Amino acid sequence: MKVSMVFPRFFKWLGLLLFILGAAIPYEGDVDDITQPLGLLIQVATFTGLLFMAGSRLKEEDEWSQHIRLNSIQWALLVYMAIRIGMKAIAFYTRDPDWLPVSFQVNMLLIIFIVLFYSRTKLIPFLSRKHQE
Amino acid sequence: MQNSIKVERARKDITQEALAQAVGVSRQTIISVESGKYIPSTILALKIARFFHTNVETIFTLDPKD
Repeated sequence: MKVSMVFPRFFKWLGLLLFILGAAIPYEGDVDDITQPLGLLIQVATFTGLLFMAGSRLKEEDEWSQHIRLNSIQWALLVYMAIRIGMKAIAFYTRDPDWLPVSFQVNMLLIIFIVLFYSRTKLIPFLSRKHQE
Repeated sequence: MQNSIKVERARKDITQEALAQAVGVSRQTIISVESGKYIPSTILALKIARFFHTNVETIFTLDPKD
């Protein structure tokens, strides 16, 4: 089966590195202020890192992993929308529209997807194999 | 959808890994198909059937729920 729309496998580690570097940069200012070069750099590094991790090829990429990928995107979108609605409700009741950074909201969808996808393709098969042994 | 891959494998005495390699997928795919968690594509179903020298309907049968 021809698999498309995935980055090479090493992009997972490149993405993790970019994400950690982006998250570890000490910055006092507002990360969401993209007029500041460092704020923009942090946002680009974390977002690109997550994108690389989310879209990188598995060791054995086939129709099942494509199915899990698509299913995880669907669930991630549902969970993301539920969290967003919850956040809107909290922001409304606390009268504080800025209580959660925009950059976190942007990255949240990819973070949920990565957690879902890797837990279903790596963690659950690993645990079930351990259980079988 | 039900399938008899496990039975066919036992009959031929081959492992999930060997079947996975023969049809060009991961072992996890075979595990998911065998356990009924994942319904394979037509191409994979045909490849599995061809591997066992039989037709698709012998291995994959419809459930009353389907």
